[in-house]
Parts: sequence; C-alpha cells; structure tokens
Amino acid sequence: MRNPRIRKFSSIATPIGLAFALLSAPVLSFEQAPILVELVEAGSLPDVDERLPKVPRVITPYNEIGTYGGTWRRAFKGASDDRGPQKLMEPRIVRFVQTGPEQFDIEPAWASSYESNETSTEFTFHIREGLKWSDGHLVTTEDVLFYFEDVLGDDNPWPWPALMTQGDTRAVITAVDDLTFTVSFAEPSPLFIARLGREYVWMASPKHYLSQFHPKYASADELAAAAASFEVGGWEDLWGRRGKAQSFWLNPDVPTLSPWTVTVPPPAEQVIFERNPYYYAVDTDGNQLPYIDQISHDLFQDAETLNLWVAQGRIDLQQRHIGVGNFPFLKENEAAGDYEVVIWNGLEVDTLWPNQTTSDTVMAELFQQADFREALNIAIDRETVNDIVFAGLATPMQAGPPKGSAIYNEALVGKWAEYDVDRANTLLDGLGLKDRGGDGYRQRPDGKTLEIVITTSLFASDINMLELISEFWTDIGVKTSLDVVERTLYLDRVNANEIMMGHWPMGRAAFFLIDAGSYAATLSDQPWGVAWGEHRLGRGKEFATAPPADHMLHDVWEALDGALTASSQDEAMALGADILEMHAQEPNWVGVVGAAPNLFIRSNRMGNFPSGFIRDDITRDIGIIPTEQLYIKN
Amino acid sequence: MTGYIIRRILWFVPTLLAVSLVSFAIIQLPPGDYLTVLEAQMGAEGDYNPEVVARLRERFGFDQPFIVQYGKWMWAMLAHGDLGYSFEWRVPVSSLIGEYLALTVVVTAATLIATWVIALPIGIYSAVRPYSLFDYIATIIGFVGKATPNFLLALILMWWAYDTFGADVSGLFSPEYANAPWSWAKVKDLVSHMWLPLIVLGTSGAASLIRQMRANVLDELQKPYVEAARAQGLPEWRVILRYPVRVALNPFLSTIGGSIPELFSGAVTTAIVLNLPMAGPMLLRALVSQDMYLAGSFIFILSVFTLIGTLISDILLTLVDPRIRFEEA
Repeated sequence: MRNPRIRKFSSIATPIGLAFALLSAPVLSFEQAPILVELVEAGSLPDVDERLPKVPRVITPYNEIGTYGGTWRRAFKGASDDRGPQKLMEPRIVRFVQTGPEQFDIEPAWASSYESNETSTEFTFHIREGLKWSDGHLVTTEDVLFYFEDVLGDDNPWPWPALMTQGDTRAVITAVDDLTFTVSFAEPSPLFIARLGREYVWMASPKHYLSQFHPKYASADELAAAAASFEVGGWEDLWGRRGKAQSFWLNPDVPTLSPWTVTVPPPAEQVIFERNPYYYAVDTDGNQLPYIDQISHDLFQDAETLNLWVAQGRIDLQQRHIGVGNFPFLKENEAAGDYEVVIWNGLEVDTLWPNQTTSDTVMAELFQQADFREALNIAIDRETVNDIVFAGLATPMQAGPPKGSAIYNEALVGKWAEYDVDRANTLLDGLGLKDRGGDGYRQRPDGKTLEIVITTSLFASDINMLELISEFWTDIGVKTSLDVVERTLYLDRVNANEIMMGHWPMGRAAFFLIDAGSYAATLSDQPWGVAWGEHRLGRGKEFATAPPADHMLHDVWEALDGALTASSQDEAMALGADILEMHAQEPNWVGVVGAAPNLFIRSNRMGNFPSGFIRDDITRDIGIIPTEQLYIKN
Repeated sequence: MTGYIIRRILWFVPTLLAVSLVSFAIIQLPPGDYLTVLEAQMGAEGDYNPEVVARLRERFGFDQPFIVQYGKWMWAMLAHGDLGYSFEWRVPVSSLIGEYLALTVVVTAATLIATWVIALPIGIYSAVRPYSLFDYIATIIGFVGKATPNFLLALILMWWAYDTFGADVSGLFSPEYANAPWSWAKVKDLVSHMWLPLIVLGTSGAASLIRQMRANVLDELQKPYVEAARAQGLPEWRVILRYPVRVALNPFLSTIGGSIPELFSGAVTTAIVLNLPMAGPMLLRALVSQDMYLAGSFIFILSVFTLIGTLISDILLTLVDPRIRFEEA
C-alpha cells in the first residue's frame, strides 16, 4: 500500500515543530485590531506584546495579509447544532492542517511543541511561555492537572474519555514544571497525537475560574448558590459538554483558548462570538489574529430558509446544512447574493448496511453469503443514481475510504461497483433463489417472498436514492421496501438487532484508524453485523454472538488491536492497510456513491478561504483551515 | 351569569390536570427519551460515551417511573410556578418560552383581527349582492386562498418578495434587531415584518369566513323578520346589520375557542418556512428531541388558552344572542 502523506504524523512529533516556532521568534513588533487599540489606549487592556505569549503561533495566510474587523455571518439550527459553531474555533492543543493536495498534517496549536518516546508510550507537551486564557490569566500545568484530576476526576459527573484510557487503565499525567507535562500510557498509543486532533479532549481547563464550581474547592453552600445563579438544578449541571459553567458555547464568562469567545449565548435567535484579545497566534507580519472581530450565528429552522438567506447574501461563509442537491440553485444566485460556491472534497460514501446477524435468520444467512451481497451490489446502476440524485457530482463507488484519505485501497472502492444485471440474476439463481410463484419476486429457502426492508432515518437519508435502489433490486426479483423512521427509532432497532438493512453514510474516512467502527462492525449507524459488534463491545446484550470461527472479522479485530497499540505510527498504518485489504475481498456492505463535493458558500467579501480541501469530521471540517486568518474585505 | 362563569372556571382545574396527564403520557409514548436522542447525536459526532449517558439518566431522573416524573413536574409547577427544565437548551423552560409565547400571541391576535376585519364585510356584501361581479371575485379569491396550502403560499410569497424587491421577508425581525432590547425601532421592525405572516396565516381563515358569513346572511335574509323590519321603514344598512348579521355571527363567536389552538398548531409549518420565532416550531423541535418538560409546558399553556377562549366565546354568545340562556343545573 502506498500511503504518501502519513509519514508526516510521526515526524511532526520531533523537534521540527519547535524549530519552526523558534525560527519565527519575535523580532517583529506585534500589531493588533483597531477595536483593541481603543481598549489599550483607554487603559482597560494591556498592550499586545504583553497579551501574546513569548513565542506566538505563526499562521501563514492562504493568499494575503488580511485587514482587521467585520462580522462573519452564518446560520445555525438550534441547541443540538452546537458543534457547528464550535468547529470554527476549537481550543485544541494540536490541530490538523492541510499541507498540499490530498495531504494533511498535525501541528502544535496552544502547545509550542510536543514529542513522544520511541515506543509511543509517553508524550511530552510544552505549553507556550506566557500563554494566557481569554481573561488574561496565565495558562500553566495547574490547569492541565485540574482538567484531568478534577474536571474528569472521580468527584465529577463527567467520565474520562476513551482516548485517555486503555481498558481499565487511565493515562498518567505528570507536571514536569509550570509549562511542561507528560502523558504516559501503560501500552503504546501510536495514534494518540492524531486522535488528539479530533477527539473532544481539551487538555486544560481554567482552574482559576472553574474551581469555584467544584466540590473539591467550594463549599456545599457556594455550589448551591452557583447552581442557582446559572438557573440549574445542581452543581453537576454546570459541568460537561453542555454544562452551564464549563461549556464555552453557553457561558460568556468561562475563559477559553479559542480565537473568539461567546458574548450572546443560546437560546438567543442570534448567537454572537467576539474576538479573544489574548489569542496566541499572529500572521507572518506579526499581526495578532484573528482578523475578524465578530461571528454571528442566526437561528433557522428550515433548509429552504437558509437557501434563501444564501441567495440574499446574508451568509459569509458556511458549508454546514448546505446540501449538494441545491447546487444549481446556489450557482444561479451567485451574482445576486454576491458570493461564490467553493467546492471541497467530501469523503463520505452513501451506503446500505445488510445486517448479517439480523433476527430474521433466513435473511441473516443470505446476507452472510458473498454471492448474495455481490448480486445486491452489481444490480445497482450507480451512474444513474449519481446523475439523478447527485447531479452527477459524486463518484459511483463501493464504500471505503475515498481517494484523498490517509489510508486508501483502490481495490476496495472498485469492488462490485460495476453494473451487471445478468450476473446478478445468475448469482441469485445459483443460490437457489428462484421465482416459483411467477409474481416477479424470488422466494427464500423457507418459501416466503424474498423481501428486504431498508430502514432509514429522516436525519440523513436521501429517499430518492433509496427509491431508485428499490427499483434496481425489484428488477432482479428482490422485493424491496423502505421504512422511514425517526432517528431514535432507527438506533433503537439497531440496538435491539431488529434491523434488516440500515442506511447511513460511511464517514470519517480521512484517517479511519482514529474511529474504525465501520470496519469492526461496532458503529450502530452502520449495522452490518450487530450481534458480532456487540460481542466485541461486550456490553452484555443477550443476542451478542461471536462470528463463525473462520470469519474475517476475527482478523480485522486482531489487526485493529494491533494498530491501536503498535509502537509506531507506520506500523499502525500498515495494519490499517491490511484491514482495508481484508474488506476488499468480499465487501460486507453495499456502497453506492460517495466523495460528493461539499459546497461552501463564500461571500465575495470573505478573504483567504482556499478551495479543494478535504472536508471530514476527523480533520474537523472547516476547522482544518486556520479560521483565524480569514478576513472581511473592506 | 356570574355563578356560571365561576363554575366554568372551577372546571378548568380538573380539565387541565387531565390534559396535562394525557399530553405528558403522549410525549413519552415514542420509544426512548431525550437521552436516546442525545446518544444518537453523540454517535453521529463520534463523541459517544455510554458512561456520560448513564450519569445524565440518573441526573435527569429518567430512570424513575412515569408517574413519579409527572408528579414531580406537576408539583413544581403548582407549588413554585416552575415549569421544569429544557434538556436540550439547558435553561429553565420558563425563561425560554416567554418571548416565543408573547410573539405567538401577538401574531395570532393580529391574524385573528385582520381576518375578521377583512372577511366579515366582504361576506356581508357578497350576501347582500349575491352573484354580482364583486361576489364572484371574492368567491374566486376565497376558494383559491382556501385551497392553497399555507406553507406553499409562504414559499411563493417569500420568493416573489425576494425576486421583486430583493427584500428579506423571513423572520419577525431584521438581523440587527434580533438580539436588541425592546425599543420603538424594534416594534416598527416587527410591524414591517408582520405583513407576510398575516397574509399567509390569514388567507385560508378569511376565505372560509367569507363563505360562511355569506351563507349565513343569505339564509337570514330570506326570513320573515327581515321583511318585517323593512316594512317598518328602517334604512337598509340598519336592517342588515341589526338583525341578520347579528344572528349570522353566532357560529363565529362559538369557534373563537377552537380557532386559538388551530392558529397555534396550524401555524407550525408556516412558522418553520418563514422562520418565525413562534411557539409552534419550538414545540415541534421539543417533541422531536423528546425534550419533555418543554413540550409538556407548551401543550399545557396551549390548553389554558383554549379553555379561556372557549369561555370567552360562550360569554360573547349570550351577549350577542339573547335567545341563548343558561340552564340552571
């Protein structure tokens, strides 16, 4: 397997990051936004040199040095859409960056550098000297220890994330000095840094502010008063992802390390973020970032409203909730709305998931036959689906990481993707599935009509595509019906192993080892072997069973365990490539089309936004570009 | 009369309790709860941790039996006026729904008044001059208005306004006023955004009102007492307004109570399409995400409005039509 871009991950952990930072050491004098100059002159804010760390992070703008000011207008869909706004400004210690076409990398963000030992068991991080929270307090290893011992500790309702544990053993975090700390694992964790770029593990919390809400530091009375002032039932509600004190999306007072901080939090109709005057990055000319003063998120309910806002020029930059099916409409209105549709490459593949362990045992046995899955696959004319449903913009393919992903297997994405009805019919005949009643449908071995029920949830699906597929399968004598259900019902059915065939895109392909559930049968959205996946997860479900002794899943799980504890990233990558090769023999699912373009609406006044990047959850969607260097043209 | 009103108000209590119990039960009917929804979201974002969900389940009391959850909610509402907590928005329900309800009441009331002001005169005129040119025009507009689904009308008007004026007509406020405190300028902004929801929400209501009014008045005009009034030498407009119209008003007054929830719920699709910050979309959203106290509170308040509306229409009926008398029980 050729994996061109991956060697980068390990090399970055070496002193290169540090050398890069030292090279740009501040001989420059720093500049700042005009609205901050006013505050400095009024004496309410220290000058920019005192606010920045000794060695700021230097971000190279994509096109040109920007100008300060302005508001970036976008839209959000409600309380559950909090990840959208957050992905523009996650306070990460390391961040994914795109380094070339189909190439990405990881860089230290609020750490100045990091390194790992030979065996990938210990990782050392260096905090930027003079790094400050958004209220001006210094960031030290105290804040790191506070995060791990108290925020994620045993006295708090919030558990440790999977990334920081191996089985029942937690990582050990040690403060070497005020600015240096180590994370040690019992077993090697070669993907730790890459996963840190994606998982929701922030590595530090502002102790000087948040400790007042913690039982270790505050009395019961103080906690009760704090809960009352935030209008929640108890101090526990102040913590966690949507905790009223901890969440940087809900609490304007919590200090953060993000380029912007919330000033008007939800449930407002218009949520506002404003610049963090202590943000630690500068551009190549020494201008403190971000350029943009303010981000406003307008609440919308219906996709058509957002489309109209786009056409009216009310959106400056947004991809979330913009559907590829609206491409013609969005292009038509470019001039009227004074924007441009910028295309990034998506890595999702629309996929059907035959549950090979479904409670209908006859169907389960059929799905386990490679010939049956092949017949279902090659009976679909993927070109037609692409033309009709995706305006010809996507790629007909089998489900697997598309081109541009860190680990790519050409054989997998091409397997059983050619349209061949005759062969499909021959295969089904060969399995003894014949139409004996003359009604156009084949019969199953137990005499019932061969029928597949596809369950899909309103959340993600494209009903047009599924209706086309039903027709293709009806053509080869397989009766197909659709069951469109609410998202929670979909998951309920998966969790009870009652689903026969699911529909959900395969995603997170950029670097699939970070979240390999699609291949290990452990993702509930992608139910191709629910009972087997539950066996692996060991959650005590009654129906959980091990796959047959010679089943490929055993090899996949072994390789996956090996990859997660390999002593180097290269070794992990090689095992990841093996996993794809195993799936490329006889794919367990029915991938249809994928790698569809992702559309960004970029107003003509928005500068420094690149095109042609990869958009994937792993690399944090739009967060792969430093949003700090975007600017509003005057 | 006073005794009747007091008795009716006393009946509110058991009615509301029954309604709240049933609606709370219906909200809980779909499989799963708010945390299943949260699990789904977390799964989609690769952020799923079963331990988080288990701790939240305990925290929010979802592991308790239905009747205990209901009892706690009711008790807090009756004893402290506390409507509960919105899990999704993480704020008390009472601080969340105030403005939405207020705007809903404003839009609903304005729609109701506009509908009446437009529809009643047209209906009366159509009845007095049936099969005239004006009657045909009003009838055509009425039928078209009745037959066009509200959301479609909303989409068409939005597109038309955008295409013709390039104007932003969605929402109830311009972006610069969305978060602004209330001021004269904000009120003017609200009024300038109201015309579209008024047209969309009012059209079908006005259409059926015109038809009903026309039919009712036509019926009454044939009756001998109209003849008698004319014979007395009363001016024509006075004959019509004083007698047939007054009688024809009966059916409308008796439907005030019903039209309030209809406007609330009938406005949901329209409000979603027009992006109006009203109660309907928020109720729908709360139901989908199984945010049960938020949804329950909306339905509860809606029931209160309906009961009050029914009471008002009963009182108005007796005032307008002396033939209606209350039977002493």
